[in-house]
Amino acid sequence: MSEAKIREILASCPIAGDGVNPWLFTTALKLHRLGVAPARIEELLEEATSDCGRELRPDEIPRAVHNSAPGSLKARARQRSWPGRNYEQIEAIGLNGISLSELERHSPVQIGPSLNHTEAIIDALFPSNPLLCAGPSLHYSLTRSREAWRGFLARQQFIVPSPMSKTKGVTQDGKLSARSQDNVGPRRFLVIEFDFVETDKNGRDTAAAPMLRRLAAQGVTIADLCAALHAELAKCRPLALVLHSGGKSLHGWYPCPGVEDAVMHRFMRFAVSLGADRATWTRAQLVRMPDGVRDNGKRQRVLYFNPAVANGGEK
Amino acid sequence: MIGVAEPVEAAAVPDVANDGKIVQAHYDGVRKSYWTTNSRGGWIEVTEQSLRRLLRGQGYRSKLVDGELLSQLDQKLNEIQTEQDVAYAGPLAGHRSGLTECCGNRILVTNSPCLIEPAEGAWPVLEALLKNLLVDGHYDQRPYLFGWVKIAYEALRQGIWPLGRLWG
Repeated sequence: MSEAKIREILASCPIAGDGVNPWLFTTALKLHRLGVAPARIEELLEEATSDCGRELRPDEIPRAVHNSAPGSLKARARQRSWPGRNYEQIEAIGLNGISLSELERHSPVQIGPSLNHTEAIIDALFPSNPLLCAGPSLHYSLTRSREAWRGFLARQQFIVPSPMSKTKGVTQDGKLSARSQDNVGPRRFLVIEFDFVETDKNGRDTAAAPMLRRLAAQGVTIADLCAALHAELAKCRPLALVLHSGGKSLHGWYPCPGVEDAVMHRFMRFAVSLGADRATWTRAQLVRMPDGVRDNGKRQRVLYFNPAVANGGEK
Repeated sequence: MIGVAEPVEAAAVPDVANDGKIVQAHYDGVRKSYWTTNSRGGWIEVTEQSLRRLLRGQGYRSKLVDGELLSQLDQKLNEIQTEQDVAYAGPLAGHRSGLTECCGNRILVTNSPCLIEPAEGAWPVLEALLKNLLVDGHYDQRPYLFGWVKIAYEALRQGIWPLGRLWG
């Protein structure tokens, strides 16, 4: 194997926020193909990501190496890979689209800031009494019936945006868990998260930085840009809800009960080309609880809510 | 409310290639060929075989998996033929490059008009010609001509056809 080739592959590590996790997978895949031993791949990836701008989770590299191994790949569904970001298009939408205040003004139901509305919103999004998975952190979640959650949801930070099929399922690591691909039901909502940052945790410019500065010079904030992008996506599919993460991003909930994954995958690819985080494609992915409270104490305020379309409907 | 109350047809959702740009391709039902964009943003006519190669390069899988009847690539070709077909493709006077509709037919305009950029300066030849044609000692009709030309030029630039004007 060529050491120069391996060095060249490892030198392409992006900075945090530009897709370190997907890079781990594709890089591990290339190294597997070059015949590098799995243990050595883990070492090489650790070295390459040491300066990427964020702490990697303990299982992030071993999982990428395991999932990209030739035997594991055969079991994976073959969907088209995610597209790159089309910054020209994102900027054009930001310049010509609606602002955050306009998005709030157009909300069919105005959500006042004085009271908490989590329970009422969840009732509208998940009628009857389905199993819901929610939790106060990414590392701790529970699956209970909707009625068992009543009165407790506003204190949760995260929720899985689709009903669960059973209270526990088997994870990729073979462990029983309240949240896994095994116990999540059919997709009910596709949540799209737009999040743009100028600099990473090391203070380096991201690929979005020049565009964000040009937009800021025209008076378009990152929140305005995210609102305009959701309004653009809402031209294709009904938009049920938009919430502020309490940080920098806006999350849009797009109903899709009974819709084929191929249809939603095309919509997701369009969203990813506009800067959406591809992680929310995973059905069991936790997303921000509507009107919940973030760990920094900020409320995950609902800015737009249209219960009339929460049940989707498909042509 | 914002956006649609019902989802649009799946084929109406922009289909993006791996570079994040929307796949631009149309089927020309008359010539039985395809039109796609070249690297300079212009339109070129390609055969189905060439388009297959381009789509493969944009991430469409040509192999069948999991009992599929058609591969992703063939599904895309079907969609282009049935959803993105055009009745005519070619240059169209006064219209900019892109899709337009004419008498209920979808037209792909493949070239934009080449408009002369106005520049300030002396123009003695044209000035003398227009003066001899439109000034007769009693009436000066040049302002009417200039106004007409100005509106026509602006309409061509903006791609908007003004209504209620007598052309010719």
